[in-house]
Parts: sequence; C-alpha cells; structure tokens
Amino acid sequence: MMRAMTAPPAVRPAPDDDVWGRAGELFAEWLDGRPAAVEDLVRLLTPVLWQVARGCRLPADDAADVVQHAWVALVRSAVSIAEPRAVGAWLVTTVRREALRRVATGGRTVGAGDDVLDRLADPAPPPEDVVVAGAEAHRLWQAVRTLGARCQELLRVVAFDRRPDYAALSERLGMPVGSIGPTRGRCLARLRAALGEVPA
Amino acid sequence: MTDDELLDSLARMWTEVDPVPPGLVDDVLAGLAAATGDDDVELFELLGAVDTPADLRAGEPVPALRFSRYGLEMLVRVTADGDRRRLDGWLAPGGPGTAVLRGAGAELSAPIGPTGRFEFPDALAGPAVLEVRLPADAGRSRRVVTPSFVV
Repeated sequence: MMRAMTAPPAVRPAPDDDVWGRAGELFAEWLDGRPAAVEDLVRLLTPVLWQVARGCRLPADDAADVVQHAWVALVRSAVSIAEPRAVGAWLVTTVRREALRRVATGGRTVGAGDDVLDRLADPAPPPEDVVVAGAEAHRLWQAVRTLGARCQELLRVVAFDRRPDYAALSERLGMPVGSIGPTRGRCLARLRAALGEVPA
Repeated sequence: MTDDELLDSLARMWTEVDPVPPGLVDDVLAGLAAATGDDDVELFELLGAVDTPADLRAGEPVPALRFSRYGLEMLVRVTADGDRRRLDGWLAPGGPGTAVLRGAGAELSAPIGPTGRFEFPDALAGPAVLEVRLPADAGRSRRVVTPSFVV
C-alpha cells in the first residue's frame, strides 16, 4: 500500500508545532492583501480539519465535503473574525458543528476506525521505510483499538484540539460536560495500560 | 510520557493511518478560487435540502439542494446509477443561459432552457461547483457560483 507516497507533504497537525499561531499569521497576511496566504493556510489546516471531521465518525466523502464547506464559509465570513489568531478555532468549530449535525440528521456514520482497520488489513506489503516509520503508529493503533468507541472518539478529538467545545462533545458523547475531563483522564490511563506504560 | 506528549503521538498516529485524501487540498483551493477569484462572480447561498416534488420525476421524491441569490433560486438534484452521476437543475426565473459544472478536474457545460431546466446526464462523481451564466444588461453576463458540493 502506497500510504506514504500518497499522503500530502507532512504538516504535523499536533498542536505542539503551534499550528494555530501560524494559521493566525497566515490569516492576517491574507486579510492584509496577500492572496497566496490563503493557499498556505489551506495546506496547513486542511489535514487537521480532516481529522476533526473524521473524529466525528463521518464517512470519508462527507468529511471531505464538510471541510470544503468550512473553507468557503471562512472566506465569506472573514470580516466577522475580529481576531486573526481565532481562525483555527473558528474553522474547527465550524467543521465539528456541521459534522455533528450531519451525523445527527443523516444517520450515516462509520464505526470508530472500521475503515482504518480495513486499510491496515491491506495485505499488500508496504515499502520498508513505511514499516519503520509506521512502527510507533501501529503499536499505538493496536492499543487504541482495545479502548471502547467512546474513548477512541474522545481521544481523537482532544489529540487535535486540546481545548475542544465541551458542550458539543457532551451532547455528542452523551455525557455531562463535567465528566468529560475525568473521562479523558480515564481513557488516557487505559491507553497507557494497553501500551504497558507506567503513568508519567 | 506526559498527557500532551501521548496526545501528540496519537495525533501523528491518526494522521498516518487516516491521512487527508491526496486531492482534498486542491479541491478546496479550486472551490475557493471559484468562490472568490473574480469580483464579478456572485455566490449562491445554500439554503438546505428539500424533497423535489414527485411530479418532477416518477417515483420517490429525491432530496435536492436549494440555492438562492438575489433574484434567483435554484434546485440541484444528484442521482447515482452505479458509478455514474446525473445532475438535474431547475433555475427560476428560467434561461436562456448556461450552466457550468466544474469538478474532478473537468468542466462540463449545459444550456439552461426557457423553463429554467438544465441537466448533466453523465457528471463525474466528487466535489464540484456549479456556475450559472445569464445574459444581463449592456451585453455583460451575470455569473453566480455555488459553494462546492458533492456530486
């Protein structure tokens, strides 16, 4: 499987790279009249928005659609975003709201990771560098699979958005807002146990 | 490993096992170009989905997307037959005019009849934008584009 070949140039979505700060800078440049900045912004944040939409268990075609709509909505609403640094949060919120709305009204969802499982089950041997690069991911994925669907979904959301919309999450996961934090802690503890890791 | 480090690892893992589709960034950029590239181009607003009346087509009502822009209203319905997609559109008020469907790296055009009817019997599946071009005053044409939607 050519996963490594078809993946876009790696923009690491983990927030430790300060993706949100960079997004704010690009958005400000675009508002200041540099049209090419929006292209950089799209390349930077689309992979993150994809994960947000997929984390709501949307099928791939719906997830792509939701991401596209969020970008068009951003361009049309740009003037209403007073603080450029808020652009990342605005996009994530727009994607998540629309994704959850579609999940609620359309009834089309995929099981947590069902199609990912299919991909990993691809019998074609991947190139060796992918095997090496994917070793950590494979180990983590095996551990994540041992968790319940709710834990998987919650961890996927917070992995890409450390300060998510708790009210929306609460509704989606069917748990009180106040229990999201503790549940997150329990899910991480279970993941550590599955990884055989002593808590930090 | 701290919680944040573990969550960073999870983010990298999901990015690897469920990467963004290769064409999505380009599709987004194409959609934005269509929506913003020309100041003379107007943008339809998506009002939502409606069931097309049964008399438009024999059989079950089929949901259609409803768009509007000052003085114009449009319904767009996509039906699938295996891998093939059929797009039917109704514009009010009617033509003459031209409908242009851009998506999947291709551009198709179709005439808009006096009743506002237009059709793409063999559209390509995937994200697309639809543009209508209508004659306007002083020999110029009016161009109105939808946000991207999935055919």
